[in-house]
Amino acid sequence: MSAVEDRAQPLGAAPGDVEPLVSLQSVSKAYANGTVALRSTSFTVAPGEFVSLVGPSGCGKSTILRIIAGLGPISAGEVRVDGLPPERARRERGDLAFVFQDATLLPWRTVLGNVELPLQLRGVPASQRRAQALETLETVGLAEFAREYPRQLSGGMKMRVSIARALAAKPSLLLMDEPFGALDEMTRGRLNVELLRIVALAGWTVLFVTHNVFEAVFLSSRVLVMSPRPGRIVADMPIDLPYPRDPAIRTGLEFNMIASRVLATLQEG
Amino acid sequence: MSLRANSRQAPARMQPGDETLIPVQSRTREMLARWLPPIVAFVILIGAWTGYVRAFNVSRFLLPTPADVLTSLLDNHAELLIALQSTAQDAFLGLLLSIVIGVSLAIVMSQSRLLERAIFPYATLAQTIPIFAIAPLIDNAVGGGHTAIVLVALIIAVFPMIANTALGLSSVEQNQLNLFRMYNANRWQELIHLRLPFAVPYILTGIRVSSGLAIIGAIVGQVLLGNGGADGGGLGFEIQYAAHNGDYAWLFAAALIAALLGIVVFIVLGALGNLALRNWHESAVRQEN
Repeated sequence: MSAVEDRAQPLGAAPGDVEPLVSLQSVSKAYANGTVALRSTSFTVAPGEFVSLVGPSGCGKSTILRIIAGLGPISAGEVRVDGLPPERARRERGDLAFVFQDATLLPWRTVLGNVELPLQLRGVPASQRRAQALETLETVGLAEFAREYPRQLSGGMKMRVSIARALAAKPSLLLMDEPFGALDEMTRGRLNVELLRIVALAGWTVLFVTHNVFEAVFLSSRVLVMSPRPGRIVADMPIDLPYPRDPAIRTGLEFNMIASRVLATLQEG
Repeated sequence: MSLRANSRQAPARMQPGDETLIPVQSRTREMLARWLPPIVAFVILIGAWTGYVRAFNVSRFLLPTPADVLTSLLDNHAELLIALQSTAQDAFLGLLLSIVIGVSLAIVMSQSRLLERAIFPYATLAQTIPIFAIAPLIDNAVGGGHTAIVLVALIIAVFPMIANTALGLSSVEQNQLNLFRMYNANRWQELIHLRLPFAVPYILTGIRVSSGLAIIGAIVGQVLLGNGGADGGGLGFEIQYAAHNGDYAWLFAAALIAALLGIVVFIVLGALGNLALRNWHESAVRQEN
């Protein structure tokens, strides 16, 4: 895990005048069919932050992630990742990982084979990537499932493999598109805790899309609230709860007051 | 941390006494349920056929009884076996070529819209062109014999390979493609690690369809181009010869062997396909409800 620890830094650390890792300036996006997904959206993400985007369905949250990943063009404005246009940042730095709502595992590969994929695509030699993937699986507590195929796993387990795959790529920026949206409440809560543990370990900067306010507040150092389509950022709310966060705070007064404030902002939209 | 231990969602293991919960399934009953219906249908069909010929006193030259067919099969088994071997060989080569060519063409088409537009209409042509019209051309071009017959089998069998493989290669999920783009995969990596493995079930379906067509193609080729000699007579020639001589028992015997060949190949390919997909594809995994 040494390479991950190199970058490890306290979660939530967002010193004021550090160069932002991600910045969007007046970004608008319209699709060819005439749908305007985003209108003049601006925000920045500093290294080490855990930022959640919350908003109603179809407000363009996922569009923002895809734009930052360099997977689709924008119609107006400017996007920078690591100071570069997103597609160049992706190609030159290879520093990004994306976790989709469906685990997007390749069903013909074992758990180990799936976690190896990013390394394999990067041209890491077979024995080295195998060792690295096993190490990653151990970190997330999945080593004993290395030889299983995805179809034998539950939804929560698949998502953990998906996160392990992202971890194996050793990214500095992790984009997560409603990764726990399809899971039951219990599993979601458990994976939230687990994600925080891994993120702290790896020193990731995370941009997390969800429509679950409680999840957003528990995970994030900052929550961006979006309006219905066409999406805009209507509020930028720092979450002043210290890391590491105890799962028990979710039933506490302070947590719930913050959550209700976010919820109220969301409803004003 | 206890939370981590809890998040391991291994399937629940059996405990002592749980055995009584498992539904009892009699193996003999399952076998009977499986094999009895087709056997009964077969007996009824053979009985009705024989009964019809006897009852209406149909001339044996027009419609032989199943017993006549069986007799002919046994009497001519040496010749029919040689023919079977020849047909199986031509069909197998035709199938092999159509797999290689079909998958290759589909891969080429998947890499470029332009090439797809250029190639696909002509691939369809292989499916629609009357083989009778071009068989003599093939015969002239390659000089008859096995080569010409294999080519006819190829032309008849190749289209399902192209169409199925192309469908598989293009059915990959958008998020899987995005994943590969995220990791800066090049086209080759995307093909080898995503599109081709994704297309395997489609390709296997193509092979099963094409295997039957390759046998039909080989027989049609032998009917049109077979010379009855050691070099490419086959079942097609037997069928044609028997038809010419009005020996319908022989004709049915040859057709029966061709059908059996097709069924055996279909079953073997199906089993091989299930073996290849058993770890991951729904089609090959038996689900209990």
